Amino acid sequence: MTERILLVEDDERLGAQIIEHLRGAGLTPTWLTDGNQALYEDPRPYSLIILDLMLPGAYGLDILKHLRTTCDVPVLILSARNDTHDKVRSLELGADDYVTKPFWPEELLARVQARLRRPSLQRDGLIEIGALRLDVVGRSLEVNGAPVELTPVEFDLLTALAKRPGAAIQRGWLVDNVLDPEREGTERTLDVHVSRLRKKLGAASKQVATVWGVGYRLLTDAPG
Amino acid sequence: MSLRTRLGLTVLLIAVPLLIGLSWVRSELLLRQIETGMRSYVLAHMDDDERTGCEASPESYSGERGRRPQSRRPPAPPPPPGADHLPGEADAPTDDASDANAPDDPETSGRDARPPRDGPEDRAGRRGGRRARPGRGRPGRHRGAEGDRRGRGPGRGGSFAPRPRLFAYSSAFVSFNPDAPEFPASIREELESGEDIATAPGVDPKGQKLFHVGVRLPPLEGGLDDSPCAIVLVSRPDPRAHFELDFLMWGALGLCATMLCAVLLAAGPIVRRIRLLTTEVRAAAADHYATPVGADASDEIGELGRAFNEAGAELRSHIDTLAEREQTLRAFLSNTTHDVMIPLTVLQGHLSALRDSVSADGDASGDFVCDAGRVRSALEESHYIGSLLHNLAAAAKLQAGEASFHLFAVNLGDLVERVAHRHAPIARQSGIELDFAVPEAPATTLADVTLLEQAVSNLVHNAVRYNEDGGHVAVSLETQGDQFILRVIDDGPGIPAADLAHVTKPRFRSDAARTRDPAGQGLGLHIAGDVAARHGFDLRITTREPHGVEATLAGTLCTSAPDAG
Repeated sequence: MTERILLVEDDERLGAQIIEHLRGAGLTPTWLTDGNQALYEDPRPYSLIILDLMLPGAYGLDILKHLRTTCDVPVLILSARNDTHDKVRSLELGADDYVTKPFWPEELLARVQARLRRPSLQRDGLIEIGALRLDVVGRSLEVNGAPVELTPVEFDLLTALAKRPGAAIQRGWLVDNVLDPEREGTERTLDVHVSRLRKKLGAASKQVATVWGVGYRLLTDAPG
Repeated sequence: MSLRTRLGLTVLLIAVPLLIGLSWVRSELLLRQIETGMRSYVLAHMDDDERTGCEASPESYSGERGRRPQSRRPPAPPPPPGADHLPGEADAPTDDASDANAPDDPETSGRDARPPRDGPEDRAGRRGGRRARPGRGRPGRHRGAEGDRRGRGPGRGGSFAPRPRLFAYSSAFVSFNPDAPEFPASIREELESGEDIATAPGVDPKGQKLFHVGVRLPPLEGGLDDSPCAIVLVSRPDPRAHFELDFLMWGALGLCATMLCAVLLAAGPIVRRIRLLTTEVRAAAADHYATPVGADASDEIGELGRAFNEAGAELRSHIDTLAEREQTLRAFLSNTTHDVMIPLTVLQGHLSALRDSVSADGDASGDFVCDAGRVRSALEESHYIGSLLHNLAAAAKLQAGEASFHLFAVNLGDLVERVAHRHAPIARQSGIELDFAVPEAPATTLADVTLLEQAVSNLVHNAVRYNEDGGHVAVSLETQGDQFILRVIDDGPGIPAADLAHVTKPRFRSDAARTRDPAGQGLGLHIAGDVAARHGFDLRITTREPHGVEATLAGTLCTSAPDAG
């Protein structure tokens, strides 16, 4: 089942392009060219609504207001106006994001997917990412089903990364929040810990990715 | 309505009622005088002797005294009894003649001076009765009094025969004299209500306006109880019937005329000066307020001139400001279009070349050689155009000043994410790794989101643009206490040390700043520097070892403001 996206865009060429990109990303788009149609459309079946503000006939913010009275579906505003006041107003009225033109197709998709991303389910302190399965409470790790023994620091390190899967975490932050404060660890120390952790993860080590100039990231899937 | 007309009308508006009031007051005073005079006359006239005579023969009494020629001539000896014992007519000329020394007044000469037209025997009786009386002097006294009164009075203009006629009535307001007119009702009312004297206007049978005075006489000693002469009515022509212009009125009229002339005369110079000022004002307005109007006088007109000059000066400075702004805007507009034309042309060039390569080698089956590098260049160029347009808008906003900023709590993490996504496609196609890291907890700062995002975007764009395949760019946001630190680092060629110090300084007016020099700073970093300065943030651009740039933007976080991403 793919996500349903509602696009309200009056420009023929731009609208066609956006629809093409959304389809290419595996989403199911519906396209309305008339703002008034949007008022009669039931928003609830959709996972995301992309709304162009500059619509002829209907004032985009009024449609936004209307949508907010009926549902909580995330709304992404498209606008040619790079105006702070417009952005503030849209956000005040309940929009979730504001994309200014011109934009790259990948850019729009990235923003759409960011809104569609579900928070990682952490039922009972269990985090499953790729081949890894962490029990935060029990402080145990399974890699491809097999348990792996980690030192407390290594476990804390992995957990810190796992709690924000896909996001890059700064070295400095990890040093401050993961390493033992009494030990006065440095970034060097951190790198050593990561190196050791990778070794223990074996085949899944690639999930722990280095981010240049930043730190580390836990990938949701092992690359390649 | 012109000023002088208005002044003239105002003077008239004041003068006319004034004159009318004055003449009314005068006539009222005259009336009072007459009233008083007539009352005195009545009271003086109706002495005991007269009353006795009246009571004796009320049916013929009409207020005229008996013929007593002697009494009329105070210094002359009494004439022989027979000579003047004629009916009233014979005496009349004498009467008139004797009054020659009094002012010509047929009415008053007839009044009291003419003996009453009663029977000779009455006259004789009365005469006889009175000759010895010292009352003889009284007529003269009366006359004198009347003469005085006459002299004072306005009677001079009177040319009519009617003289003040006196009739006696009983207390029931009935006269025994058949000639007596009906007692006026209004006077009757007043007398009945307790007054002793009352006056009222009236009209005689000929239609002339009269003035009646009714007097209730005090009871006569030794007189009848129901005296037929209890009330006396005196009538004389109403002097107010004729409007007379005397010296006073002429004087007042003359004064008003003089005032009018004076006012109009005084208004002359004022009106002239106002007209002059008007001309000068019109000239100044046509001249865009370059020439001031005359404002030397110390009075109100001079003040007006000064006020106009001040207003004109202000207007002029305003016009100058607007003209300057318009000039700036025009220059900006022409520069903007100029700046976009070049990359647009380059883009067209790339696309054109691509088309040519497609048509040259390709066919419907898609078997063509596509210059990937050219495609990338085309994409970069269009990316640059988008960036440039946003930058130009940001530059305009910065030039307009802080008043155009719209500050609110900006979520820095979301901002970094947006900027990273913006440049990711271009970075990826160039083989540059672009990544970002933000803290989990929201970090907000007070800023104009559009300007701040453009500043950060410029830093990232610069880092990407001059990097090469295999290079890296990282955007990292950290918080330390109440401070945020946003770093954009790259391992590209870096900025020459000599330029580092100047790289963020605003150089909007310089052509060099707007062109893309090979080192590549251009407009973007200047805007980043200006935005940072206006927001109170600190922007530092340093060299990274072994090569590359580290741009650090630091500022204060919002403590507890609502997140508005």
